Amino acid sequence: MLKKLKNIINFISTANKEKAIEAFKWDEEELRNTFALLVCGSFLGHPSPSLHITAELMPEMEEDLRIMFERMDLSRNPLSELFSEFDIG
Amino acid sequence: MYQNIQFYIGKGGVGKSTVSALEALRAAKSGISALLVSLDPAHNQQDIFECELGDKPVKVTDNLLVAEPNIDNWIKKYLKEAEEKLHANYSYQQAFGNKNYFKLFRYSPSVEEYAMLMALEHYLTTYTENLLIVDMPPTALSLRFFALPGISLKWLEQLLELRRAINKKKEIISQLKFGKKELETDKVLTQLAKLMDTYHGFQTIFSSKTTEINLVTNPEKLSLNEAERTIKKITDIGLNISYLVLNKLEVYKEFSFENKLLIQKKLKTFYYSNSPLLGLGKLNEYLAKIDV
Repeated sequence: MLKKLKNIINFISTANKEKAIEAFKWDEEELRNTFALLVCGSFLGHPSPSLHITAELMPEMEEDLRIMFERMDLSRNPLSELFSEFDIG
Repeated sequence: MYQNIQFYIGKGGVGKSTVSALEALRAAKSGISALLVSLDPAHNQQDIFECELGDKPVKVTDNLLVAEPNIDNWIKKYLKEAEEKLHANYSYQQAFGNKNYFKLFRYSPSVEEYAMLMALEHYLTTYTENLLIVDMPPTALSLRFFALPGISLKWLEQLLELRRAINKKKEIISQLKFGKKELETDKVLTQLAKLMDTYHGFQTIFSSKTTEINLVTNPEKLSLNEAERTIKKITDIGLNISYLVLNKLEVYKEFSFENKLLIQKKLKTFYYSNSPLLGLGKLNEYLAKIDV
């Protein structure tokens, strides 16, 4: 009985942990998206730093750019992303 | 390390190149080893010294080296390096997509000033004369050049703060996932810190007591008014004009100016020469006359 209870608690704890990680991951990626937008804003017509800063940082930003482009794709369907983030439906 | 650096700035045609050549020659004659670098795309130094000049300094006389780097080549070199680094770090498809973007960099604002900073850094770190004299391009580009480190630092400070917040989030994720805060070194953060160091370095050089930013002007209203505006703009950037250099003064003509900001500045004067100051012989002759 105690073992079963322990298993249930473990299961709930793991599930919550996963959710917390997901939420933090989303938050982190949002910040990276903002960072990439700031550095490479001229891709989209944003105000951006002088291009020498972009040129110096871009070689190290493959992952940031991937996130930025992914977020750009998501912007076409933001509701479905929000629903899946909060596990609705 | 250079003990002294002198920049000569001013309106186009006031004689920045001639004044910097004369000052470099004057220092060399007094036994100070000097390097004269012209960052002015007009490339006047090769006409003044009557010899072919390029990136590599040429010895024109005892104690004096002169270089006239081609800024376009520095832009190409810097873009090539950045593109190669990008190709090395990115997967093929991503790098391919960014290739055209890099082509456009060449024509972007600030690239020219940045290439000038890189050229300056090259001469500062590669050669060890006692005096570095820099013949600058006309006012607008010179002002952008001096402003670039400060503007870049403002951007970099904000980007660094954001990057730290990103890494903090990554740490929390790592803690939740693996129970420890172990992270790979963030190369972007390293690069940001490196860039900040570089620009702080330039700011230190520009505002150092051993660096002079000298403003060349002529004794006529248009040049003097522009000189006054340039002093204001240099002050806005957080720098100072060390000397006002009055070039092409006429010997037998009395001259005074009313511009308040100009009166406060320490003065250097160069008299008008009846014949063009071209070639070492003419330059030496002129110096012998005015230094009596």
